[in-house]
Amino acid sequence: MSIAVQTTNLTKHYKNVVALENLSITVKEGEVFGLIGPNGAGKSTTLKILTTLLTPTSGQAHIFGIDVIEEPDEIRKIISYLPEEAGAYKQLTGREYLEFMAGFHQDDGKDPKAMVDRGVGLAGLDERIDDRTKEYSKGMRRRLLIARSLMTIPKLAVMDEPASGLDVNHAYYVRKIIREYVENQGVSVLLSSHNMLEVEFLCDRIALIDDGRIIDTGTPKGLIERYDAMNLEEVFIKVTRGGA
Amino acid sequence: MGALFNIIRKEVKEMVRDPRLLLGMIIVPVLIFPLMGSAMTATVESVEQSASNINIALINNDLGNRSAQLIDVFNEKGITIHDRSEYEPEVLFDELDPEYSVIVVIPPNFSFNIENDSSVVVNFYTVMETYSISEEIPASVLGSYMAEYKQMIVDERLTDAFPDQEPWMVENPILLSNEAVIDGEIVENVSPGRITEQMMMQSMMIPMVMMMLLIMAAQLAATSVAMEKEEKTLETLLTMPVSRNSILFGKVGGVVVVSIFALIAYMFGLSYYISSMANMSNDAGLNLAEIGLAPTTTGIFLLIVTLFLSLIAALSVAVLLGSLTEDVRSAQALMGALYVPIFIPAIALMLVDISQLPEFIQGIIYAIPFSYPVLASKAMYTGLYTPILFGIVYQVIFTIAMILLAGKLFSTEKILTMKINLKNSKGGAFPLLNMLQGKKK
Repeated sequence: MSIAVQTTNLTKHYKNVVALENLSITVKEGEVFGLIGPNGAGKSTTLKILTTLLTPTSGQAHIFGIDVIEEPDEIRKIISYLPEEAGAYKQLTGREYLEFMAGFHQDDGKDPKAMVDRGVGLAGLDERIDDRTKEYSKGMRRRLLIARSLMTIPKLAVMDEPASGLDVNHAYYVRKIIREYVENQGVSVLLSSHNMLEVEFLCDRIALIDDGRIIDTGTPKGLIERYDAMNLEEVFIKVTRGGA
Repeated sequence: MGALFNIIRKEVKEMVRDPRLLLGMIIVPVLIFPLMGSAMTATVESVEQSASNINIALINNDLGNRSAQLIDVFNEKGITIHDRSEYEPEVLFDELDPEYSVIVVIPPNFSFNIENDSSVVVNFYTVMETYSISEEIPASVLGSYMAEYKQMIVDERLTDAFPDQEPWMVENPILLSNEAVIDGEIVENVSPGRITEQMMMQSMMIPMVMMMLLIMAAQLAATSVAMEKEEKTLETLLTMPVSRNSILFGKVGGVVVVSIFALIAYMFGLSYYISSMANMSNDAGLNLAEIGLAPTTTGIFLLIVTLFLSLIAALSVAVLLGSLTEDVRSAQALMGALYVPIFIPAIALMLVDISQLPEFIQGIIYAIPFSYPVLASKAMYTGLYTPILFGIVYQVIFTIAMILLAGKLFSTEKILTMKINLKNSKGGAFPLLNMLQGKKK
């Protein structure tokens, strides 16, 4: 099994604020890896560096052996990114949005039409897929965006809080299609989340992150045992308060 | 190329479908000229209506032939006369029948004074209520008929005094012929004033359309970029396998496509407006082409080049400014900074030639890249192309610099981290400071 993501001493400073400090993680191919931590811990910064949106102050990052800093154009061909607060173009229909996004992949030799068909199926919005996205609820929009991020069958899907703010039905749907897609298509996933239920359900391994540093890494079950906790939530509290 | 067209197509769809953009930035500006033209036409019609349908209340206190002669003149001109000689004018002021436009009072000594080579005062009273032009017109029209009658009396007196001379010769010991010379040829019966008036009418058209087009296009471009940020779509777009330059050019390209359609619509609207204005004027209209003042092909070509370069330059600046803001409202507020350099040359050069301005102002105008279409619109007639050719080189350099700057911004994380928020004053008191510091997201 090859390495999907490898970061080494990744550091990011904004003026006087330290967002990341020597962060090193390894995500294996085909696994769902979760970054878990409180607000401002550095989760989103890590994801934005890996998706070529931000440049690290120092350190290295590779996705499937490609240098994120040196070859951002190559990285963008093999990843997809779902930001935490992403929108869809309000004046486009759901289908047009998927077509627009698929249009960027036609130079890669992929079939945009097949992508869009896949995206329509993943979104599960039935006939509402042809409504403009401004008429969508938050849950519907998130389903569309998840579909967009998976329809290209990226080698690595990076998802920032994939189901945050969704009601139970939409959140369940979103987690289900991510899990199914990973199992069926072999996509590797790196996600961040606050939701411990989501993390236990989705992630093969997780890294606990606080103040820009990795505190611990392991499987959800392994961490629960290691910290003698009832669940991941307790692990999270113990780790972030230093009570372990 | 596929990615570029993909973005252009999306941009055009979004602009055309967004009612705020479509109405505020395209439909209203496009309709404004035809609406102004229609308003003008309606005004002219209303004025013509009030001039052709004059009713007067006449208080004739004169019993001689001269007042009867004046009344005949009014009758010949189609004026409807209501004889109210039994009233004092003040009575009619208060109880004015709405049909009376003017109360005309002929004094008792009217005929006597005229017959005796003296002077006499005729009073017109217009009761004003709406203070509109149509209220004033009847008295003006009556005045012109009165002037015709007055001229008749003057001619009579002159014939009596100088029986061997034509009255008009006595009245005009010197006649002036004021004719323009163009390219060494006298333009017969055309004064320089008429030519400049016509030239101004035509040269106003280009600056006006240009101003509106550049402002609309710049607003669209800035809004398009700012909307990507406000609607949280930019981050996703920036992680797509597409070059940052394609995103930049795609946005500019989308606005250019919409602007070309808007330009065509503006030209139609404006020509309707101009023709409405021309209909208003009694002057049959001077055909500049017939007197050797047709725009040259080179001139038209240079105008199109300068206009296109101005558009691209304005869009580059707009994309740059839009990229610095976090939301649409801030972007639109910041665009105000771009209006000043667009308005200055258009308004200044609409009224005077650049050579008439102080050198300092000339320097400013030449430094503004948006001045050149206005300058080119005049050079089309004058043939002075050298400043325009230098201007084109300058515009190209300016535009490339702006595109490189915008491309640089798009290629770094500053596109996400640099922001100016003009929406609220909290923290916005030092927007430039925030911009320079690259506020942390």
